[in-house]
Amino acid sequence: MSLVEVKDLFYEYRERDENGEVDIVTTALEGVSVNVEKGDFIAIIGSNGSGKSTFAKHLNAILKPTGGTVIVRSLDTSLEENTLEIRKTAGMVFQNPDNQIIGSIIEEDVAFGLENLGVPTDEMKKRVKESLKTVGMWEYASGSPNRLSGGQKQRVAIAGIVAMKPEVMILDESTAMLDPRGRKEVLDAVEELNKEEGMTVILITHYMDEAARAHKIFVLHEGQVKMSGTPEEVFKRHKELKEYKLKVPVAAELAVRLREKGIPVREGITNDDELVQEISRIRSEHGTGI
Amino acid sequence: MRRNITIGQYYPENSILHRLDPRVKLLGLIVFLVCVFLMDSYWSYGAVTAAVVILVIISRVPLRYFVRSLKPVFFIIILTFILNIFFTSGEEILVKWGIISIYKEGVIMALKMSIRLIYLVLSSALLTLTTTPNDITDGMEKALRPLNKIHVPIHEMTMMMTIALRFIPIISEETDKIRKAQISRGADLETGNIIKRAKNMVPILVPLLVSSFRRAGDLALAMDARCYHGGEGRTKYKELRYGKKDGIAYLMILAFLAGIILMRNFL
Ligand SMILES: Nc1ncnc2c1ncn2[C@@H]1O[C@H](COP(=O)(O)OP(=O)(O)O)[C@@H](O)[C@H]1O
Ligand SMILES: [Mg+2]
Repeated sequence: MSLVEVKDLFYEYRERDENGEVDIVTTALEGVSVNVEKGDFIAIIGSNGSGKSTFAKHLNAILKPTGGTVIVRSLDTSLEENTLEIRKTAGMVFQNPDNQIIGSIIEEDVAFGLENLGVPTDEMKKRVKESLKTVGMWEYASGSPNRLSGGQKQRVAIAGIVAMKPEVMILDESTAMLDPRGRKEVLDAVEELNKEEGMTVILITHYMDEAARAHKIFVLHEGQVKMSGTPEEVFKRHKELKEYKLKVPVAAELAVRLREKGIPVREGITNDDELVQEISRIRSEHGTGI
Repeated sequence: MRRNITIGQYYPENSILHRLDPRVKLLGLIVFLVCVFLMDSYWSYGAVTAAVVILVIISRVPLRYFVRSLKPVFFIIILTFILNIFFTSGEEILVKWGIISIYKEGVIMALKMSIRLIYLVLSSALLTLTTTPNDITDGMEKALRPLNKIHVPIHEMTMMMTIALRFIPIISEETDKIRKAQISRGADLETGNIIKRAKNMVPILVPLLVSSFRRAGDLALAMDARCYHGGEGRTKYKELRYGKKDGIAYLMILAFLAGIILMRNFL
């Protein structure tokens, strides 16, 4: 059984008028099916309004399906009594770094989730320290979050989730408000968690280069999964991606075009570094003639 | 930089006052305020003054921080002094100048009231300079916890304070940003009478309100996602524990209160 099983998920936002009558219905998800195995690192990409956040909110029972099922570690999210256990299992990091830090001291903020779970104080101290060390923020533990950069704040938010020892971590565009350096910091921390601790990661983003780091990508468009596969498989279909208002990383597109021109660039290139390496390999093997 | 503003005026030090349990300091402040209003004889003024001086010294906070804490209320102190000196009548006239006459009682009253005000401010400063806002909140939560039994939502109230402490600096920074943005678009925020200036605030307040509501929504979501479900079954990261010094401090506080009451009745 998979860790997360989403089957035929439908979701409608219903806005009600003053009389409580359903006024506007927005169908945000239309039959989404996604399975996530333990230890996976998957990315969900899609343009604005494609339903990414709506999907994410189903994974920790913030939203309940209108149709279909969401099962997290064999727990059905539509049952009220499972809510707490599901939120313990699936931790979520949000977009705005300021609006998800609750404590005015970093270590106290990381402890917030543990306090809610009723973890004993001694155990809590240990876990706060471990998780702040994991994201490289332990030296700031007794400081105020207000003085941190965006990337550091997001790492604190990640520590707050890691401390709760979830089995899957969902990042809903958690790098969208960061500068390139902050984005890299956060992604490196996430990647390390996945590799070293075996944490299952669901990374939601509209940056393709970030998605390239995942094992598997799902492309969401107008509430439906339009494509799925490894980053290479997905990026190869760059024309299709453009229809979904998504842009393939320049390096990946360039690699495909070079190959089309008969230059023996290997498959599966997703970022600048890989492309540069590949080109210098080709030059040393074939000379500059081609 | 506005980024660095924090709430309160905590002065990091490691004095005995800093290390006392916040609950002790909160009770100490309340007792002290009561004493300031109970003092009447010169003896009691002397005792309270001595207490202030000793506490300021052992707090190891530089004197200028206390002086600074008086600044916002300086005007009120002067006003109180003037009102009392001119409008208290008595028997012994000191100065008579036209319709204005200053009585000895007036001078004494003015001095007493000013000293009381100064002590009120200094004693609150003693608390806030030696205790972080978080510790004050934690102290209040724990001290008031018994009120939970009669359904006073203590946990909710302190959670609100915690969130306020976290977001006041952020929102004030944001206010600053919006203000500058509006000024750079030619908004005139400084001139005009009160009504005009109040109107000028609208282009600042509206975006601020909108963003604050968005923040509140985001925060509620983030709290839910981290398993927040009220105060029930919650543990604390920083569990307050009394030490020996806290017991001694409680005894001293009570002894001081008893002393002041005795002076009031027997001197
Ligand atoms: N609270 C809401 N009420 C009504 N409609 C909403 C709400 N949140 C999102 N939607 C709509 O649902 C669709 C999917 O939104 P969302 O999941 O936020 O997309 P994404 O995160 O990919 O940008 C959009 O059309 C959006 O307008
Ligand atoms: Mg979104």
